Amino acid sequence: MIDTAGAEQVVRADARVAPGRRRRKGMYGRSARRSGVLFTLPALVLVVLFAVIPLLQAVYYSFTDWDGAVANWVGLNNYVSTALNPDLQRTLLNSLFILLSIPVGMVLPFATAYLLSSGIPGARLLRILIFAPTALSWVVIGLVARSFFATDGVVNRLLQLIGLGQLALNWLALPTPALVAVLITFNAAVFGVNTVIFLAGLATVDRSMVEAARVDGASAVRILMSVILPAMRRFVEFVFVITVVVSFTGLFALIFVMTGGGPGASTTTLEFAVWQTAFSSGDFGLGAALGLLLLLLTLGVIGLVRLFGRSGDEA
Amino acid sequence: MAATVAVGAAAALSLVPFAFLVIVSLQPSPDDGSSLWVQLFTRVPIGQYMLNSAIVSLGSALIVLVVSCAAGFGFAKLPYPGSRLALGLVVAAISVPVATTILPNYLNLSNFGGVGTYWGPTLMYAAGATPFSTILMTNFFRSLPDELVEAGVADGAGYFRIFASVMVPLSAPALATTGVLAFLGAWNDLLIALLFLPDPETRTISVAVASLESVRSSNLDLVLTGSLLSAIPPVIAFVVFQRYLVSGITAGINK
Repeated sequence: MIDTAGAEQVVRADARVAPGRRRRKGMYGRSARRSGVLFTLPALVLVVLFAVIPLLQAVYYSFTDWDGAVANWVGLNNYVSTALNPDLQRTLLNSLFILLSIPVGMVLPFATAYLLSSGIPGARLLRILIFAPTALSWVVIGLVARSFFATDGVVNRLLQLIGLGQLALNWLALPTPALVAVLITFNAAVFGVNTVIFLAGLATVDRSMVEAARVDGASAVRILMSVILPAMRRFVEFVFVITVVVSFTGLFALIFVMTGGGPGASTTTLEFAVWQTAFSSGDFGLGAALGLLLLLLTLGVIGLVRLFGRSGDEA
Repeated sequence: MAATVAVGAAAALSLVPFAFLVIVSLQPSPDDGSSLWVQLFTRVPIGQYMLNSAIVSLGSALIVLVVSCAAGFGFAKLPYPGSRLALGLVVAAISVPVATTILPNYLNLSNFGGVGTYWGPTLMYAAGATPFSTILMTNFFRSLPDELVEAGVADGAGYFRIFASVMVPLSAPALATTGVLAFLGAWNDLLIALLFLPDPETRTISVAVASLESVRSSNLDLVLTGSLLSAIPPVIAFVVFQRYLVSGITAGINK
């Protein structure tokens, strides 16, 4: 389920400010400039053909009743019906629940990375084992989760074992438990990769600061809160952004396999709804509108995180 | 001590999906008591599914490597009027989710006969991975000194020659990161494969195991065994290239 979408979001900012030293104009003359065009052309052609043009088409089709063949202009109808459709409202609510679950889900990988970096024996091997499930696709993870949350699955058996048998449910057949099961599965699945990112972040924390605080008699908790966490802010923000982006734009396969979006629309995300609307209901115009809402929502959340992160810089 | 136990428990839990799949796949089949692995290879064209996945994922990874390596070199070392704008376009394309453009892409490719063929989804995967890969490669080539190019020019080598004989060999680690990420992204994808390879003959392994009815049974154990098989190539890629993956994922953090 490795997904670089989130990393990409952050690389963006990097690329914009990263030119380093400015080049002298015309360093190698005209043939260099012509070669530059030739070298970059294939990538540009792919981006224009598969991202720029389709995006413009999506904007156009979102204002039509496109059924895959014929498209008539319907103005804002698709957006209005999105706002009024209870299933699609539920979809937006689901995105909000996923969003809210992410900070909670980030505590465990952070704690694990912190402990892993504290010099425990076998840290290298433990890190590899924790990272390993990242190789699994969302399809595989979804199939395993489906088995685990089945009526006679591992989850219910464990609940019975510890005397909480009354909590054993047919998880995936009930709206709220199904969403809970998806949220748990998603956060568990990104545990490994987020631990590894936090670990990379902890390696950048200035050890001498930590030592100085320790010599001053600061407790481990105090050091964590006042030295390590502030130094890790960028990594915390990064993990949050990539996890949000993956949850918004990369969960199609998990939901397809685990719940099919149901029961009802209780586990549908916008991304899933694009596919469902277009290919089950044949309403490509509405699907295009949902895809654009997905883009706006994703950009909005990232923008807010950036804004929030920047105000933290000034403080 | 407590820390070791806690992290050890997390590591053990991380292995649960693998252990579960292995245990299930070694059970006798609920239908007739035969081996699930034998059933998988005799009743299901699983080899063809694996081959289909391999064709589109290796094909797209190869395209991404060539395209992003060339573009990275061009953007980093051979600027031209408008190249910053062009790079900006590539950077902006990163933010567009697959689901946002997939319907027009589906329409366009079906107009050109790209649906139900290998080349359609291969290009979709390649184009999807190109923006991130290009920026990764551009940042990598920026970290190399301009003198490498200048020395080549002074020796009378053309830019293509400099690229092929100096730049490409130096960029092996960045290419490993780019290639593995592109391969994993395509191999593990469901959405694009589901739409662009609808026929049973060209179906990828992900689609095959995700659409339970395609295996034509309520035999979930067989599906789980297939999913374990589907995970083997990415797990191998993962183990071999782990180092590069971490650097690729965290490439976006400006330290």
